[in-house]
Amino acid sequence: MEQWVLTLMTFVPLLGAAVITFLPKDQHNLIRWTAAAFAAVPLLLAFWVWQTFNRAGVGVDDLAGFQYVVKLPWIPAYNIEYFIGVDGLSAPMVLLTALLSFLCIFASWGISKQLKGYFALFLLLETGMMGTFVSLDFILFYVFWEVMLLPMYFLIGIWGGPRREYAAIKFFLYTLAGSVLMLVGILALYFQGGQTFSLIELMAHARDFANPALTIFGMNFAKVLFVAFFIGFAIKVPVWPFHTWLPDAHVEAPTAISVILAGVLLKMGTYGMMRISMPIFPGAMQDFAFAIAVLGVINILYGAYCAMAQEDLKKLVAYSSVSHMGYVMLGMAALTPQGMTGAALQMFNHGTITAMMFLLVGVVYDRAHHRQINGFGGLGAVMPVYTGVAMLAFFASMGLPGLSGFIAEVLVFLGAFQSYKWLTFLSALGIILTAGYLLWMIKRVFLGPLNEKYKDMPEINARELFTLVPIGLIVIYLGIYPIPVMDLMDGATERLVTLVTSF
Amino acid sequence: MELNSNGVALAVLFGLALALVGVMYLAATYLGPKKFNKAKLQPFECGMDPVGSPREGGLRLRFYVVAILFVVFDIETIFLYPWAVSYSKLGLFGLVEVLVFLGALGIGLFYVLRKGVVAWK
Amino acid sequence: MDFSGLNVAALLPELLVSGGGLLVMALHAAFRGRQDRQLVWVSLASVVAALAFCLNPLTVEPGYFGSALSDPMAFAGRITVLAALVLLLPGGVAYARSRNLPQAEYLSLSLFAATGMMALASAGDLIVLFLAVEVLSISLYCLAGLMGERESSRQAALTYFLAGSFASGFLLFGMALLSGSAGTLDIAALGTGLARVSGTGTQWVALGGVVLMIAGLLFKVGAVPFHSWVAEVYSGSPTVVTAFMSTAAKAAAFAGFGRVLLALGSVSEAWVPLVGICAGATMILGNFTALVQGNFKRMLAFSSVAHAGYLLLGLMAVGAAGESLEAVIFYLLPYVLANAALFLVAAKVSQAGSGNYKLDDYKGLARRNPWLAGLLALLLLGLAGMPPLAGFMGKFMVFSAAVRAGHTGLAVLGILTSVVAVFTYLRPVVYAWFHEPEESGALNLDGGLAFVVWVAGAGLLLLGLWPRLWLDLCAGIGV
Repeated sequence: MEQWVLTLMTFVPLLGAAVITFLPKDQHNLIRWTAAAFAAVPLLLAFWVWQTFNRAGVGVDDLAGFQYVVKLPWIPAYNIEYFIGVDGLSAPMVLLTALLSFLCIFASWGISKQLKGYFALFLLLETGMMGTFVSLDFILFYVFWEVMLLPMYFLIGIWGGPRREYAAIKFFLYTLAGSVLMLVGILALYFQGGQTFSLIELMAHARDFANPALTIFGMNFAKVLFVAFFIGFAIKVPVWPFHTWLPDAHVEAPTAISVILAGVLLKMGTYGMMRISMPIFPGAMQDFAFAIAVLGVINILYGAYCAMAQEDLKKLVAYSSVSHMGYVMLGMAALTPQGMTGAALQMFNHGTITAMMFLLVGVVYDRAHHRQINGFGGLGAVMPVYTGVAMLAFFASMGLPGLSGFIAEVLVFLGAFQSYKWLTFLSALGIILTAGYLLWMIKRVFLGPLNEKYKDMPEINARELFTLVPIGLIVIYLGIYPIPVMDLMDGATERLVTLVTSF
Repeated sequence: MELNSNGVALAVLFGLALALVGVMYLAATYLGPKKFNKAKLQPFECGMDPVGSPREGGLRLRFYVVAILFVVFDIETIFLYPWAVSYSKLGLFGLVEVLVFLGALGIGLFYVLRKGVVAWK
Repeated sequence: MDFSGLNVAALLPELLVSGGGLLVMALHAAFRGRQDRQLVWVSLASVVAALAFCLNPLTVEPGYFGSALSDPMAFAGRITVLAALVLLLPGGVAYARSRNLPQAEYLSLSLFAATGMMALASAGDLIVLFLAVEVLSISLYCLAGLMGERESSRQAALTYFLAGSFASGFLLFGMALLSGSAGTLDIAALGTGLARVSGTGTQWVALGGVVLMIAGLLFKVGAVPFHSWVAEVYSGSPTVVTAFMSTAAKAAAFAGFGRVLLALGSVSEAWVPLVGICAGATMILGNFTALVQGNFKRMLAFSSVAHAGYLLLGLMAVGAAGESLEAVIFYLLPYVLANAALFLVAAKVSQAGSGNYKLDDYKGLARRNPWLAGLLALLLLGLAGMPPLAGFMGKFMVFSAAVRAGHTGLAVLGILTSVVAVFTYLRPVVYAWFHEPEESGALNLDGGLAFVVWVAGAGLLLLGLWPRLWLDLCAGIGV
């Protein structure tokens, strides 16, 4: 019975979306609370999964290590299956998705335009995200990946800022281009890999794919496909130079959607690399590891430099995401156990920290209706509680010891240093840049003389605190004692590293 | 050599026909007397001088519709001949098929009559 | 004479539908047009009777000495055509009534055209194939000109007639050469017949026949380079007729095309490069031309050219590599459902707006009728091939079949051009959802149109999630 827990987590939000479409249009609170109730179910189930998860199982290419597995034929003619399960790579992501989705319902309380549509699409988005993380069948994965794309497009395009149409279409086209490359790759794998879409079985064919005699369009099969999948995922991360959709989408998206975008959607890129690219093409991963590490370092430094130049608070946070996702890439490319665990942990921690930062930006935007860094000043005096929470988030983002960001970055550096000394040295400069743009921003927004315009700015309210405090507690808790999340992923990350390095 | 198998005979026949027509045509063009006058260049209208322009007085659309109807029922007759010839072999089945065919055309005729296509106004 | 191979039941669906058409004509004439409002029920009754009969396994035996088949292709073609009729006739009659077009003629001609389409899908020999093509084409020429007082409609009818006659000429000449050299009219036996003459001088005659027949069929399905009539005919014809042409007629033409190519599989080297080039060009040209249209109806017209390209790709795989027809059969049904509903929606939205199918009419549709805007998005994205809608499964099957048959390059081209298609289909969605309405006031659907749109939307979702529903039905009845 209990293996259905993942199915429930995935489809309860969808049911919620259906229920919401039939609620009366003007019952705003009813709609909000219904959405919250349906988002609470996956959260509770995710906690349960987190508690009962067998830490000894490894997963990745070993089906026995996956938990709550359901495997049913879906389209037998093409061997497409409803095949889901979690391992150490996906379990933290599932937890993160459930948590952020639930909190974002409350961060969306202020939405007033077409409430029904907003919450229905939001829940549909949650279904797409959950499904992507639990799928073990390639077509199922692709279907959920695309299902997630559409609500996101509408959520940005309808409820976004002034340039929402441009941002939504740009987001859609970039992501679609990536997923189309992925589809081509999926088909190629299907016909080379014994006509199966099961990720586990495809991993077992890794040697066949790597056969140097196997070519596609005159080039090495594994390498071509690795690059195709890499670009597909890189657009989502986003890896420089595919990152330009991200600032636009973030600036225009409503607060809660920015949180989901940065907190969950970006992780899908790196998650895809870990779940698909690395175990299916271990040889190509070895060949391209250095290039990926270089891209990671470019992300770190370029993102940080761009963040420093931003006038818009939200754009600053968006570029900080680009920078922080660079650490994930670097850790992954190091192909050492510490680096991989650091990358996986960074995915989770960046999800929580950046979510806090976007929520915080949302709080001040709701009051001042602008996000210009230079338009504020001295907010610390009028909003002490808000400032306190904000400091926590920004310091965590900077990687201050004792907060969760620190552990992940240290692990990444430890892991990467063994493989690429100079690159690690360069990327460590990113920490200085991060401290630079965050502290400079804090100085301009929270410190200094009070901007008279905002002397009556109301303090952060209970609902907003409710969205921030749980994440804040997690950030502090994992900063002191990261084991509860790390032991979820340890087995899987180690397995992943051995899989690639021993190939 | 057998002519039929490779179509040489057919080609020869075709060539001869073409040549004959060509020769006659050319002969008529070059040998025939050409004396034009006004009456000869005018459109033919039963020997009388034409009345008005051919564009205005042309045939009414109804003529074409009736002509098409005629073709339809003419072809109906053509279909009936082979049936009539092999009536005894086709038997009851043939009769039913022909009745279905005639029934369909009958409905068409009924429709045409009711639409007033042949009502002469 | 021995009539044991007759089995009239094999043609009963066609007989029922054409009988319905005759009955409509007779009733219209008998009541002098006073009871025209009831005629749609007569038509629907004959369609439903035919549907019920198709689902009855009695029809499995081929009839008329092998001229009328009842295989999965015939079954799928018939059901697709009949489904299109069920969706289109009620809306079509309402459309005809509101614009003062002759309803009885609309109905009976549609039924006659459908008879031809169904016969085309189930044709077992070349003569029946040609007859079916002519029956459907001539009915459609008349339907295209139904709005006779409007110049665009007359022009559409004449263009369609000229282009169609040209195509019929190609087709007939090709058939003559082909059947002459293969020594048979039976489509299924063409392959063995041609194998006998390979290596002799006759094979060049046969090759000419194959090329001419394919050219004629490419004309009929509106593929590049014979696509130029499509835009004019589709945009000039009354919208409900366009819907019929681009759905049922196209499905039937592809069924017939598939049958011919399947039979010519043994000489695939003669036509695969030809059809491949046409498929690639069709995908590129159809998608890019659709992209730049500012007129919804023309956009749908060119998008249906693009879909012909994907279907050709599926057919190539079928004929050349012995793939099953599954991919093509599956692709057609969601395509027909979505297009039928979209054309009807287009007629409605245009009537309430500019009256000339401008994309601008869709601005702010979400404010005026959110359900309609939502379903519009669903249908368009279904055509675009976004999962989990059926369009995705159709494209997936076609592309997999192509890859399996070794046409990887064309499959990649197909996938890339689908991205262009997504952009095309998103434009009305963007207008509907992200723009403010130019006109205020709700845009309400009448019951019939709402039924069509919901059925099509539900069908796209259902077929996307359980594609086997349709395929198993085809396989179960037909085999």
